[in-house]
Amino acid sequence: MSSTVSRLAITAAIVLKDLREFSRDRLWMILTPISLVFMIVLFLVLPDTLNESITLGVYPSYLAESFSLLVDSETSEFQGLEIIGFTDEDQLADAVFDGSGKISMGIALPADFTESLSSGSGGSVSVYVSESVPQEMRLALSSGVREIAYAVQAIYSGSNPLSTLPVTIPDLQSSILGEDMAGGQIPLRDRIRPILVIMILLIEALALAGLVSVEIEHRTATALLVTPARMGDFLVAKCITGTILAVSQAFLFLLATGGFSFDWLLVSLLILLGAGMVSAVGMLSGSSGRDFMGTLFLGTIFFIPLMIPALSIMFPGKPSIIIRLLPSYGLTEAMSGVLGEGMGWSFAAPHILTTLLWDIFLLGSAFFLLRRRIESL
Amino acid sequence: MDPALFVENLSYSYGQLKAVQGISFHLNPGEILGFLGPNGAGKSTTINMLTGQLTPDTGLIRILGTEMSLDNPEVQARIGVCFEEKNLYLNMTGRENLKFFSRLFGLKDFDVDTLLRKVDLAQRADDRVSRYSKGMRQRLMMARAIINSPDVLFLDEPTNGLDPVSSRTIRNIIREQAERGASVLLTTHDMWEADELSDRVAFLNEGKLYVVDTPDNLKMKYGRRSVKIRLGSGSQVREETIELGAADAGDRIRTLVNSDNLMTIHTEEATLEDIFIEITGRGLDV
Repeated sequence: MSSTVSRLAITAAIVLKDLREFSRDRLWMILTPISLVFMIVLFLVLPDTLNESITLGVYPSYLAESFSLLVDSETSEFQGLEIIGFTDEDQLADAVFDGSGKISMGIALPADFTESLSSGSGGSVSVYVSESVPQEMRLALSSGVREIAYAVQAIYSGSNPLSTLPVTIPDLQSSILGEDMAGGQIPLRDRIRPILVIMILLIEALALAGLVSVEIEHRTATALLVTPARMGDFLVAKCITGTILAVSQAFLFLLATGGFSFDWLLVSLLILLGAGMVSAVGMLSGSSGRDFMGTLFLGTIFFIPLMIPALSIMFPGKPSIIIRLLPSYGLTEAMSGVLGEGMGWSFAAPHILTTLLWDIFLLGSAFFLLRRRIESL
Repeated sequence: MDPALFVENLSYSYGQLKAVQGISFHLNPGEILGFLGPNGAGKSTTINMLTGQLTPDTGLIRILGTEMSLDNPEVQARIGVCFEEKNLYLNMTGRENLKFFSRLFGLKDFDVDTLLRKVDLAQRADDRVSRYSKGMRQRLMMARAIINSPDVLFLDEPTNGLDPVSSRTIRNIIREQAERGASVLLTTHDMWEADELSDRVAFLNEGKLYVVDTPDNLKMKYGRRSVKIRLGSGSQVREETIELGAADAGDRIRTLVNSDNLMTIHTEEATLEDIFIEITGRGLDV
C-alpha cells in the first residue's frame, strides 16, 4: 500500500514529467531555440536609433549662418533641421545626389539673389532633393524657398517680413490626434520588441498545446487519474508547465536584448501575465484538437487574434475598438509602454488589471474544457 | 469476510445506448473474477465506472469498504488499473514511466529494477517506450498497474493479442497478485484464459450480467457429464459415448477400458464458451 502523497508532490511530479517529455520532443527542441535565436537576431539587426533631423545644404555658405540662427532658436518651428553651408553649388548638388543620405536637400541661391529681389527683377533658386525625400517634402521646400524670397525682399524694402508674406499665419492652438511622439519617436528595434516577446510566448503556447493533445490522444491522462492524482493536480500542472516554458523563453530573449534595463519587476510581472494567458491558450487548443496536427492548426487560429494588438503597435494612430477588445491588447500596450517608452507602474496598472482579468477568464475556460475533454475519454 | 469490491445495481448509458444495465456482483479478497463477454458487452464501461473514470447513472460501488467516487484519492491509492489501451508515455523510458507513477503514489525510494525484472523488461529498462514491442508495452502496463501493490486490481483485456510468452508472463503476475491477497477483476473474451485463471467467472452480454459462478459449477450445471471412448482395430474405428448418470455407466466404462482395442478416452465437459452461448444465446466472438 502506498503512503499518503501531497498534492504539491503530485503536481511537481507531473510538471517534471511534462518538462522531460518536452525535452524529448524533437519538433520543439528544434523549433524553440531556432525561434529564440531568430527573434534575438531580428531585434539586433534592426536600427537602435532614429534620425529625426533633416540636413539641408545651403549655397552660398554665408547664408547658412542666417538659416542656422533661425533654426537654433528655441521657439523655432524648424527644430530638427540641420543646416550645412557649401561654397560651391556643384559640391552641394553632388552631396545631395551621392546617395549617402547625409544631405537630404539643398538650396542654391544665386550670388545676386538679394540684389535681384531688391530691384524687383526676380531670381532663380535651385532646389536639390535626393530620391529618398518624399514628394510632400519637396513641395514644402519649394514653398519655403518662395517664402524666403518674400522675406528677403521685405527686409530690403525696409518692412516687416512677416507682414509682407502672401499668407497670414493665424494664432493656432495645435491639437494632436493620438499621442504626440514628436521628438520622442521610438526606434524600430524597441517598437518591435513587444511583438517579439508575444510571439515567443505564443510559440511556447503551441508547445504546451502539443503536450496536452498527446496526453489526450494517447489517453495517458486517464492513467494519471486512476492514481491519487486528481483532475485539479493535472490542470494546475499543465498551467505551471506552460508558464515555465513561456517565461523561460521570454526571459532569455529579454536578457539578450536588454529588456531588463527597464523596471525589471514590472517587466517580469508582464511576462508572467503573458505566460498565464498563453498557457490558457495552449490548454484550450490542446483540449480542442482531435490529434496533434489538429491542435497545431487550432493553436494557430488562436495565435492570430492574439498577435493583432502586437502588430497594431507598428502603425500610428489609436487601435480600433475591436483590437482593444482582444485579450492580448492590455498586455501588448503595457509591454509597448514599458519596454518601448520606459513607462512605469502607473501607466501599466490598468493594463495589468485587464490582462489579469483576461487570464482568469481564459484559464477558467481552459480548465473547464480540458476537464470535460478528459472526462469524455 | 467483507468483499473487496461490492457492486449493486450499476447502470450506465451512452445517450440512448444502455451500456450497463443494473448489474450487481462482489469480489472477495484474494479472488480472481473473470468478466467474460464479447466486444461491446459492457466490460470496459464497467471497469471505467469501478475505477472512477465514469460516474454511473445509478448504482453503488464500494471498494475496500469505501464508496467509490470520481475524486477519491484514498481509494485510488489502493487500486491498480491495467487499461486495454496502451496509454504509456512513449517518449519516456520504461524506467521513467514507472518512476513517475511511483511518485504519484508517493512511493519513496521505489525499487524499479525489481519490478522491471518481474515483467522481463530489465534489459530494455532505459529504452524509450516508443521502441517497445506490443508485448513489452503490455508488460510495462502490467508493471505500472501493480506498482503500488494494490488491494484491488482491475485488468482490462491484459493479454489481448499478445504472443504466448508475454501472455504467460502476465498470467503468472495475475496469479502472484491473487496469492499475495489482491482481488483481481479480469475482463477477457478468452474463455480458456478465464477458465485457467478465474476463481469465478461472470457472463456479461449487452450490458446485462447473466451469471456469476465458479467455472466448475458452471460446467457441472450446463455441461454434458459424459465420456467418449474410442476403440479401434486396424482401419476400423468405433466411438462410444457413455452418460455418467446412467446406472450401468461404471460397468460399461470398465469393460471398454479393459478392451484390447482401446484408443482414447475423453471427458465431454462443456467449455465456458459453450456455456456462454447456451446462457446468453451469443458467442464470444471478438
